[in-house]
Amino acid sequence: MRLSRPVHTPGRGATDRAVPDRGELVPLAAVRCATALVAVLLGTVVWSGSFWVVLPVVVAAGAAVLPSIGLVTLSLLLLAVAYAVNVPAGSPWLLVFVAGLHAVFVLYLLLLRLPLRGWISGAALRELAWSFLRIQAVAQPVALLALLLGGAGSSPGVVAVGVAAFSAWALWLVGQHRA
Amino acid sequence: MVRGRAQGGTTAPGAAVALAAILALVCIVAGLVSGRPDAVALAAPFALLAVAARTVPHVPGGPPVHISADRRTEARGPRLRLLIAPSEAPGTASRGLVATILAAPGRMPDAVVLRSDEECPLLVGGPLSGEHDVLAYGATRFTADLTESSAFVACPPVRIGVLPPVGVPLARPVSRRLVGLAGTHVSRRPGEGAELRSVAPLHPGDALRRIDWRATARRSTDQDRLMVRRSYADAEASVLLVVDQAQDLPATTADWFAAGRPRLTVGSLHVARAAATTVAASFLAGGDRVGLDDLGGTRRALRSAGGARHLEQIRARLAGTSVVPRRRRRRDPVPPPGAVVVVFSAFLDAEPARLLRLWHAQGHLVAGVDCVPPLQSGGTTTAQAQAVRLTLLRRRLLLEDLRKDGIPVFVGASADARLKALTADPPKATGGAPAPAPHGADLLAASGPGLDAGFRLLARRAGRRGASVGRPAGAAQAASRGAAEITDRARGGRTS
Repeated sequence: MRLSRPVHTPGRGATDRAVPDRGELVPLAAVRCATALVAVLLGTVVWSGSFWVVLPVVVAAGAAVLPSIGLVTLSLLLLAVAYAVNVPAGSPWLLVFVAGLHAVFVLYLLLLRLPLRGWISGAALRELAWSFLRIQAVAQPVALLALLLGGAGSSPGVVAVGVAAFSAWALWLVGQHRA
Repeated sequence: MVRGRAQGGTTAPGAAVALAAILALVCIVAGLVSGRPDAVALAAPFALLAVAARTVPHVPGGPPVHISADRRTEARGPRLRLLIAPSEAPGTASRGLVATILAAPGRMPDAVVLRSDEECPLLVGGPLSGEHDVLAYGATRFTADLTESSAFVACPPVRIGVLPPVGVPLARPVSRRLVGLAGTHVSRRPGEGAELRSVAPLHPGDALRRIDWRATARRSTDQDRLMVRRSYADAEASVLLVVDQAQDLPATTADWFAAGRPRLTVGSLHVARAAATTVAASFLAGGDRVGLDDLGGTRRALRSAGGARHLEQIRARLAGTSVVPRRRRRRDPVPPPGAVVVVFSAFLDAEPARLLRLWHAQGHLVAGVDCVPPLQSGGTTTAQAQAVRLTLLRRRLLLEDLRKDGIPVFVGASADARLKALTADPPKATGGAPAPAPHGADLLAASGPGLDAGFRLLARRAGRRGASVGRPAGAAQAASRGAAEITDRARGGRTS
């Protein structure tokens, strides 16, 4: 294409980066901050009162700013395992954690594929939110049911069968996906 | 214009699904071991995501978006307006998200995440003139739950051509050896024209309308002969513009040493384009003929012609100029007889100066246009600053030698008024050694008259030279001897 350009002032402005020229765009920096904030808040809940709260906070911030598959996995595992270890059974924080862990996971997945700077449109965020809510519509009743069954106690047989069944399902799932 | 083909297009392995399955497994194991159903419930969203990924159709390959010039709206301000649009037709695009990675020349990449059916206008910096890749980009497509994605597809860069601007009209110096048959300049040949040459008795072949009745009454007292007014023929000038595209010297000296993809900065080629366009437009507006050639010898010369359409051809040819190393030419370009020859160069080596001397010795009216833009120092190491100083010093000596030989050299940067903003707003040094010492500042400043003043001076000088019509035969022989010497010297230099 060949354009005849209007007169303009050259200089550094002419060499600037490409920027979108429309509204309803959220900077990726804001998404990163929100991701780190949610992860830090969840970490603060499960590690409250402990010096070790620094660990999930630092990992969460690092995973939000410079996401890599290792940091993301570490950050999510720190939150999930810490919940199982530190939060007492039957805590109503479960509902928040089911939503929060899912949100952090989705946001990490988004940031994993993107460079440091950028923008995301409001429509894309709504699409993400709609997908998130569809999953949560099933996950929250499951979490509520788990709260109701809180005092069931553990049985070695149930554990063995459950772990074996889920491991088989997970392996089948990943194998099917690769195929 | 779109070049090449997009790369990629296969579906990436489901790392997200694997990660979701691992997290679900950890939660379930932790919950079962500790006997806590609430810990098992933490696995619910991850397990659901993994299952959902099985049911979602595979993300199609191919570039999900394309970027082109946005023709629906006018460009606002100094930047070009492009449009990110989905590759698929509206309504047929699969739902999901598209992440487009944008990389302007010399800049870190940015991302724009859109819904797959969304469009987004973009503002990018463009060149002042010439053809450049203004934006490299690629894209990847995700499902809405981010568990599936296509591979990143690198698309052909967006290439834009910007025609060089036309500056204010210049004076038109012309050679006195005009050979054209129609135009606005007075030649030294008898013929049809407005400039009186002589009043003489009527001879066979003289047009009757040229009879001067007053002169006849005054001079032919016996009324036995008729007097006619004879005039000099009007003729158009022939101008040859020669552009040196061997270098494109950036305005910022730090960019002389920059590696990687060049930034869209003002360079000597832009100045050459703008100055050549201004000179061409000035002569073509006066009905003269203008030709265009390059020192590289890589393209055929644009034939000498006139008219507004030819100006557009010249602008298009100039917009297409880019840095091309000089090839060894079998023979030097030959300007039309009696042509004005203007060489646009950064004068970093002796070749443009040699050709100017050659054509000057052949009797052409010649001028050089120094195309180095207003330079800004800073951001260079001490060694680099020394290299800049040496380069500029050598250039200065070349230009001074030319002026001593009677060949004028004008400052081409004055052709584009926008370049003044550069000198008014120098960039800050980004690192490295400080700017060269003040005693080197004089080398950074261009010396010589601007294009406007220079062409006015040249026109006046050519007019004075033309007043003493007809050089002595000895001078012509000396000139041709000088031309032969320059050609021989150049050939000897090239072969040695």
